[in-house]
Amino acid sequence: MGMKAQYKIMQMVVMVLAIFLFFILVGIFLINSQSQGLKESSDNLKRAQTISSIESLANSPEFSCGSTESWCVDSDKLHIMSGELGKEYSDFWQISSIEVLSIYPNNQTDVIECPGEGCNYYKIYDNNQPNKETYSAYISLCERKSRLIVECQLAKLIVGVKNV
Amino acid sequence: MKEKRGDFNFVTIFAIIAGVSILILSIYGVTKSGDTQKYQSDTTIAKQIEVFIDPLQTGFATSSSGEIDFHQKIKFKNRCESFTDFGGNRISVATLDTSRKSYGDFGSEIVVEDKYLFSDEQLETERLYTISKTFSYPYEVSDFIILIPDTKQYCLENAPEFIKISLGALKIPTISVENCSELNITQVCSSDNSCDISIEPMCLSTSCKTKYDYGIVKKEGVSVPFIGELVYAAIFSEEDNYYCNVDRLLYRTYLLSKLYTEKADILSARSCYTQIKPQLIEWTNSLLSSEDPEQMLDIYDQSMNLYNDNKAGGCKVWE
Repeated sequence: MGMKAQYKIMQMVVMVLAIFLFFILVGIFLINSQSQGLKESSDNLKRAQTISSIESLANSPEFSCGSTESWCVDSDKLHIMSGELGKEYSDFWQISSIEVLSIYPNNQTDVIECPGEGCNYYKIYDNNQPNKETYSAYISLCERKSRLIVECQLAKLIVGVKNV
Repeated sequence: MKEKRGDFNFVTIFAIIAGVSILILSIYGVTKSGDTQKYQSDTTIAKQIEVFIDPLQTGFATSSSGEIDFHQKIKFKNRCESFTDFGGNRISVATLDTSRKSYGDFGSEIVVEDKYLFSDEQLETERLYTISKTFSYPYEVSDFIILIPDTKQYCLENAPEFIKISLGALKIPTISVENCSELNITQVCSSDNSCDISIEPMCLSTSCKTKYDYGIVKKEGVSVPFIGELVYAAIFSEEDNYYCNVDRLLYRTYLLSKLYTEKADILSARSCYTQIKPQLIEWTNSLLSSEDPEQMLDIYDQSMNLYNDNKAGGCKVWE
């Protein structure tokens, strides 16, 4: 086989390889842009779910004052759920964190975690995810003092969602 | 150099090889990317169902209904698992592939752990109707959702009156309360074995509000027990799915009993005295020992005593 023929074969091999490489790169680009879209839609759905779950969380029997009051959280239940029992729910919550911060009337300027004297902050659940985005809603935080007396405060229910 | 007849020159060979390769690669790429996009969109639909269901839950109403329109025929799979503590519903969707005129593979399964979805394991539908009810035993445990396809018609003409009133008010197109005319319609009746679905009341003691406080639902030769509003779930879901979700609800009932036992202590320490702590401990133990959802009727009287004692005097542990 002459030198010219060998040269032509080599040229063909290089061209075929270059075309394959080109299509592989185009394929990678397409897959990448598709997965970016998937990530984005997954994030949006997660966010939508977190926002819609704030109300159902506040009204769930684990937190709510009673089945007749909306957006009312029982502080005794918060106290219990921030302890050992809350840990049993760690697989249940489809969010990254649940916190409650009392706002008014509140003499504390600092955040003091409950249980404790003059505390104003409950950390119910946190899976320690970094880059978390939080959403909150105002709630009544109520405590039954006696059979007839219920004392309430204005508080914020803060729910976290992982920001991927 | 003179070219012989029948010889291919380099340009022709190259054009054939490169052309065929590009064609094969393009066809393969388009097919694969189409499949991936379908898988992605089916998974997104399943996730959207989960998100849409949130506001469809009862909240503070006694019951509510909703409708999810997919604008195309879909296959919907709802697999319930209760192996782990809370268990979960694993939902997935397959849309109709118009080019192949068949359903492709199901998208990825979305695990729903904080909701209770009662339905048949596989549905083929264009619209899903939802009914949301509340499970209380004896305190409120959770809302649960029943998913009904638009392909199955139900007739409640001879059903117990309370079911006719409750479901009739929701105005679901596939549920007829009177004048059922269609031939392939599932008949729901009260204590009638000739019907497709028969509801048998079992609560006969004086403490019962109605005889339907608990009972059994007979369907396709199988009897499943129900308590309160679970009667609706028993009518519209398959046996396995029903038992699995009831098992999950009972686990949550157990955890709430622990919560209320601790709350009884806190209230008593605040001189807001309540008498029901011993009953709550007993109730917790009963829930722990009744491993099978079929046993839930055995502890119904205990739950009613607990309910009445909480209402009777002192500070209420749950409102």
